[in-house]
Amino acid sequence: MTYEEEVQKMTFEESIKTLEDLVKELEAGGIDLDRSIEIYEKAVLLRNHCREILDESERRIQKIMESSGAVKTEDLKFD
Amino acid sequence: MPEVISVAELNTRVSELFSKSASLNDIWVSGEISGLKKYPSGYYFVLKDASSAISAVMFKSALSRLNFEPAENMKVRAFGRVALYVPRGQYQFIVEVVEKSGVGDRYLAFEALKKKLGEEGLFEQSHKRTLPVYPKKIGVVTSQSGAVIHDIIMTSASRYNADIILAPAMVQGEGAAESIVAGIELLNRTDVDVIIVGRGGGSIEDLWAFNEEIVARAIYNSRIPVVSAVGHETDFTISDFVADARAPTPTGAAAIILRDKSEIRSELQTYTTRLNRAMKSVIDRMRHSFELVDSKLGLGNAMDDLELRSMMVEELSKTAESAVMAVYKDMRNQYTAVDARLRPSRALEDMQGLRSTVEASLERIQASSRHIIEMGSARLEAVSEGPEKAINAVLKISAQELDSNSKQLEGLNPSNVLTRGYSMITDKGGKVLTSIDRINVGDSIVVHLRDGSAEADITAKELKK
Repeated sequence: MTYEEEVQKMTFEESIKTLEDLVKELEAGGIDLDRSIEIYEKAVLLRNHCREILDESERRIQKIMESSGAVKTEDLKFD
Repeated sequence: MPEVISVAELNTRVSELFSKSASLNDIWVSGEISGLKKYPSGYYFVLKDASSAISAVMFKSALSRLNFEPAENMKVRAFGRVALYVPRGQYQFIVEVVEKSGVGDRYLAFEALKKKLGEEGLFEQSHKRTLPVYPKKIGVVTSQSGAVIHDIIMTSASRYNADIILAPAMVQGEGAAESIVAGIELLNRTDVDVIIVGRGGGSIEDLWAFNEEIVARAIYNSRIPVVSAVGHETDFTISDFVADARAPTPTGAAAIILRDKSEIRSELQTYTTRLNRAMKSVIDRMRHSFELVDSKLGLGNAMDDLELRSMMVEELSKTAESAVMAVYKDMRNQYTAVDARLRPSRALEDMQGLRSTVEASLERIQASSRHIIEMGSARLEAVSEGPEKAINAVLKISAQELDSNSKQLEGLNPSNVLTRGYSMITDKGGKVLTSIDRINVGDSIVVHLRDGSAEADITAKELKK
């Protein structure tokens, strides 16, 4: 699995946390150039993934009910 | 003659009796207001219960302390004293303070439950769960017909995107507490990340379900974090104390749970800025170290004299390929990084250019050093241009190869050559003679051997055919 595919599977929270960790690692310095470039590339992927999630605006609004032991979920509609 | 007193005197005596009686002064009486009449001087009414009644009056001074408006049939608790209205011989209850008895009971019940649950540890900070920062699904327990669910849907629209799932519940009246508990438990069987329990503003009676013990326990036992959002900012309920977070209003609950999108975007922008700044400093650092190594190697002046080149050969042997390769790699990476950000298409070109430069330098140093020593110091000037050989082959030379090459070079050192039985011929000025053209019959030459030199005269010469 490429890192890009890995990122695609991450939640927003995981992505932004990983992004924060990578930025901190790069800022701390003391790492070689290969690792620096790796961090940079990963960070950009993570940031883009976060932006994609943020741009998402579709959401479900539902209601859940239980009657005689059966749980039923349906879209919430207002009269 | 028995004592005869006036009516006024009698009433005065009764009045004094009343005022001296501890059991008739500073007492609380509970009853219902009836026949209320409001005058500027005060409120006049009858306090009654199922079997009895007493006239009551609340004078202007006491009215100023009221925090509610007494009304017909209202159940109250009145604090005051019994006094006789002397002109009419009627006694009445003079009310100093009046409280709605329902409120008082509720207040006591609230305080008692708060104390009990508090002692049990239900409000402990240590039990409070952290709310998810980016919930994917929010559960809401409230009335489907109330404003709360609308407010939450509206408020969350501009915030971090999350699904909303409502567990409709009765939020006031008979059975409300049970209905709220059922909603919390139902949502605990789903994958919601957080639950909002709440209702809009109302009287303390309206909010009462959120002060019920079963609701408090359902919140406490919830597997999923619960945010309590009941009534207005100033309303506090037991639910607020036991929940993982209290929102001042239902709208506030959505704001607490979901971060503002523009705020997250600017946070991402900050990370981008920090990332670029950090990367730039890495590149600057690499460039600096490259320049250091470059100046140390002094590629430009490398051809100046044998000593310097010998030193360089030695240094190359020592640090071997790794040092040069490290420089090469740094440069390559540095350019890859810079170009990848700016003009990816040019990265390869620059890389190859650099590669050629480094490889050529390496090859030049090595090849020319070997060459020089073969030729001897007299031919020093002639070798500044080393042969340009296959570049890739040189790059493959390992540290060991370089090392053994340097041993071979060692073998080619002129003094070693002499050891092997060869001799070197110079003119009397010490200039190395390598061609018969430079020698004439009658010249004096010097023959250099391993351990000394001898002078000789040329008696004949012959050109190779």
